[in-house]
Amino acid sequence: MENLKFVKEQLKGKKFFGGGKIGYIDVAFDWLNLASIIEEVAGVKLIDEDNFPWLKAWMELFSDVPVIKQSWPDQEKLIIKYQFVLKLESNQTSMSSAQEEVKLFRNWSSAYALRIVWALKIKGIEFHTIFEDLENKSPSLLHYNPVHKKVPVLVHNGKPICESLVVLEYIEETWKQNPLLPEDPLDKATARFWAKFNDDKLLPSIAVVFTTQGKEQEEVKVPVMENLKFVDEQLKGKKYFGGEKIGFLDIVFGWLANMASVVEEVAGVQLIDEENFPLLKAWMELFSDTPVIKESWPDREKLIIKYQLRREGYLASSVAK
Amino acid sequence: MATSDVKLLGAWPSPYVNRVQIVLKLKSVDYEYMEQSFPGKSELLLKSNPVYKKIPVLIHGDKPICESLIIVQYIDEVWNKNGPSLLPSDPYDCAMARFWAAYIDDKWFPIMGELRKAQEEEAKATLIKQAAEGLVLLEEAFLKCSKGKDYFGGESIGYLDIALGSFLGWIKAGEIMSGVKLLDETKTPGLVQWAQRFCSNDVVKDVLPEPEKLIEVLKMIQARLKAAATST
Repeated sequence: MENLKFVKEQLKGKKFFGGGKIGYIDVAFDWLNLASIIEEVAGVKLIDEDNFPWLKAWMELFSDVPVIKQSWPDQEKLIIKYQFVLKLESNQTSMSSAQEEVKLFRNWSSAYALRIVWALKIKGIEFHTIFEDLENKSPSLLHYNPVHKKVPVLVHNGKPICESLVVLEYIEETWKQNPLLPEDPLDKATARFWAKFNDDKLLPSIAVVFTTQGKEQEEVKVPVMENLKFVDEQLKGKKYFGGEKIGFLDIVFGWLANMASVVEEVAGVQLIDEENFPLLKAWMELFSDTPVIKESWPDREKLIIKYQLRREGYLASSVAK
Repeated sequence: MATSDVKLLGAWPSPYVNRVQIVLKLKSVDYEYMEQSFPGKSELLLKSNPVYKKIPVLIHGDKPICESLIIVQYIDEVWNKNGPSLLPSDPYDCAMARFWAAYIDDKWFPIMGELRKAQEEEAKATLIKQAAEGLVLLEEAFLKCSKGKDYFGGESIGYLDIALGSFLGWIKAGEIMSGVKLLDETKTPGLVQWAQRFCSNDVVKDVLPEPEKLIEVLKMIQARLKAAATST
């Protein structure tokens, strides 16, 4: 628009750029008659009567000159040509983003898969989600994860990576923006240690509480309290496990922020309370409130129904024993 | 770096401790080795690893680092100028190394533990079959990761070599005790040759215990468990 303004100034008080008749500059600017083709194909208004009245008038005058008119290429043919060119350009753009093709196989509720969703979103990586029905696994999932046959699976440019902690480290090494792991080797080792602790000790201990009731549940609750105490201590003097912002360990412990209350409600047990775990409780609220986390939570009602059914199944089979 | 700056709390039969010993040797790190007696746990161990109360524990300065593969990565990162990196530089190859190491620790080696405890022949046969199937997967992994070279890590010993290699003494001990060959040239030829190379490597050969000594340890543990079971 600015450039066209400069051009229109040159027509002030003149019929043609060359004055009374067509000159050097008129011939140089003749391509502007393609303007209407560009406007039609690209769906954009460039030269209108209100903003560029002299230019518009010149375009009509110029086009009407016999020696110019008889040399114009066929307008219809020009439109077809430039429509094709535009399509080719937009294909090139989408191909270059497809070269960075990221797919995530997950299901609606897996806490392990949520870790990957969060990591990708925090790093601003575009990805395509494939939802799996774990009762009826797709051939693609079985092809990409033949060893464990589980979600999540990240497929980056056709190459699969499985096991959520391995995927998180892969994401961290591949996309360097918004780092999730600390730089210092000791802090990194500490984060990895507590991540493994979550998967090997904390989560399984809470699962045991979930599948029991009565006196047995009271007994198996004891190691959970010990495990939660370790986790709570890690938050001393910190907003997040990662320090000032969400990091690797927040992502790994993140399942607690929505699942702990589901377990508590379904299994009729109190696990994380303000009195015993004040830091953990505060972190859960802060973490849950983060937009990129909040927008990904599975539907709570659906989770309650799912886990109620699951717990009934466990209790029924333990009675049968 | 003063020797006392780096301490390793360990026990010689533990494959997890052997991993750390191999890496410390590969990276030429001087350290003080503190053998932990079994079954008692020293105050230093309980203080350094309150969560698991297990070895290995690396103490660097006064900071403890626990869990063998986490220690291996820590050493690799801190002493990164001492020799080639243990993990591949390519993120995908690195993910493969981590994936298979996790498979070995979480899925494959626990089968060996079950095998030692199994009483009935049918249960033993099932577990041996599972272990063999796992080794076939690891054979494929070896072919992909090594890319025709000597080790999972390529030209030199890497993370995955250490993760699997540390179990070779126990695998041999299991083969002797059960009379069943697990590492079979006809099924996993690549792994068999790799195992020979790994065990005879200068860095490894003085670290991995002799299978016969491990059998003695196993018999001692089994005797203790039996005694404890009969006395209760």
